[in-house]
Amino acid sequence: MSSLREKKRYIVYEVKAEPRLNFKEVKQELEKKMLQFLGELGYGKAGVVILNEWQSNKGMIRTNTKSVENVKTALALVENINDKKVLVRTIGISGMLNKAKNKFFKGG
Amino acid sequence: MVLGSFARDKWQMRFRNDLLSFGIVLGMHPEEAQKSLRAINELQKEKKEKKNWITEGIKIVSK
Repeated sequence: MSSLREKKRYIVYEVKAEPRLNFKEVKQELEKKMLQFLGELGYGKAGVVILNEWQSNKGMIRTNTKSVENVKTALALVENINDKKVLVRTIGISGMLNKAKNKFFKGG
Repeated sequence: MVLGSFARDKWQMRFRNDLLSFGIVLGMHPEEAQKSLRAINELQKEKKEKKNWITEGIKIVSK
């Protein structure tokens, strides 16, 4: 039933770092940080999925509507990826995957 | 309450939206979080004005 379906949001984030980063490293570190911040239960409740979209240091995370603020905060707490100083910021949020791609990936 | 990144180098700086989310996660109402972000500007203004402040009701306007 559509009313019981989990409502999702796509968060587009950008990783600012001096050397260009590998998506695998970024994904690992983001998962680790979100797990640390949200906890096992919170991570499960948030339904976080780091999508394989990666273009010019920008990526996408899918989460449920209620956990958007928690996930954004978790992203802001990332300081290092593989001993390299980084700055992770959220560019935008959308309810639709294609809109998120067109607006924030291609436009931004 | 004042919300800010209080960064010492460029890598510690945080964007406005992320600080807002942090405030909301702490339990603030979104409007409260916005006010807290603006508070630092008001504090700076107050500090600037205090330089010329002598006592209640008196301040140096021009030298």
